[in-house]
Amino acid sequence: MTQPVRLDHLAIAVFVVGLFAVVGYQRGILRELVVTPAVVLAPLISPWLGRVLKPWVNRFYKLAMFARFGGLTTDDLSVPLARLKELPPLIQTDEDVRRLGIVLFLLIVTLAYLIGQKRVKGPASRMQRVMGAVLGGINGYALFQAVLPMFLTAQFVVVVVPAQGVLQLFHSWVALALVVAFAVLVLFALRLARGKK
Amino acid sequence: MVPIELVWFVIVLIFGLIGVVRGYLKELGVTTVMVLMLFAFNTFEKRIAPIVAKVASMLAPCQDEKIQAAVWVVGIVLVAFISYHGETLAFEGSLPKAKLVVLLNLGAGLVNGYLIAGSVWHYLNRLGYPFLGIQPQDLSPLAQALVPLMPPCLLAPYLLYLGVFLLLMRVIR
Repeated sequence: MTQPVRLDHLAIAVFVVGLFAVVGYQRGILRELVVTPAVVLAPLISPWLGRVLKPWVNRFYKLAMFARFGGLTTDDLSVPLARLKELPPLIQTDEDVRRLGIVLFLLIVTLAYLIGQKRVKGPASRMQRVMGAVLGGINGYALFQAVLPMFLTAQFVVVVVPAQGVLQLFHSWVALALVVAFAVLVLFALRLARGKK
Repeated sequence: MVPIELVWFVIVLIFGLIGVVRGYLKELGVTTVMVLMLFAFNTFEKRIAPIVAKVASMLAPCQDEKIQAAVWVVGIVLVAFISYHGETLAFEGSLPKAKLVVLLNLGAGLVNGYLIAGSVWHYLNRLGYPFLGIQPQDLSPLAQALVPLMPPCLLAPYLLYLGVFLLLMRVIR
């Protein structure tokens, strides 16, 4: 009673771009302009930064674990130190460095969004909003291109849904017709409604 | 015992009445959230379901299906509650004074009822009704015919496009 539905990269890209366009519309072009350099540069910087910060991350990890094991408050310092010696470093393999790079990448982009939100003025006109939506969409696409290979190596995601019964009872074009009818009704209803509050 | 399809119809009808009271602009906001939630569930189900099953079997080996069903149902109900509570993604504007608007309100409410109650039914059916003491083979022919028409099955290929469309409409307003 199951049938796989293939969700390819294009479908996910459309969703991500749409989502970022919505965010861009709300934030305006000036705020989105702060994000663009971060989105472009972060994929280049983060792997290098991951390698540079590896010893520091390991040091702070050991420091935190030392505190967790009792730290300077223990009567016998040799106990936490001995446990610390047995503890493997947090970032060891190339895979760990890659993961650190991903975290740093996400941190840089998040920081850029926050700086834009706090330091830059919001949209003053509808045109700034629309341009923000366009740039937001571009940022979303760039992010999608950078992030997807990190998490998803397959060309597509297969979602298994119990659809055999659907095929028997409801041909897919009928479902599509219902969805299109719903969309047309939504358009009609929104056209009917008066302007913004 | 009341047939499950009757309960489903009644719940959808109640949502329809709620839609009449709230108006379609608010209801479309709920629709947007529910469509996006269903898309997320459909996309990540393959990854989430094994984790949920593993945790459930660890917590209660004999009742793991109950816990799994509870996770999905509580998830849907929680998202529905959040999307109904307050303004959230409600579309901006005011409703015109026309008789047709009542029908549109009712329609939007019914769609939300279908999305919410239908999704709950889908997940309960998939896990063999662990709460309600129903045997899947005892379902009436009508219920058996309705199960594949629930949103996670029927709308699976279109959820993404519907979600993006509704979001765009929300922005353009």
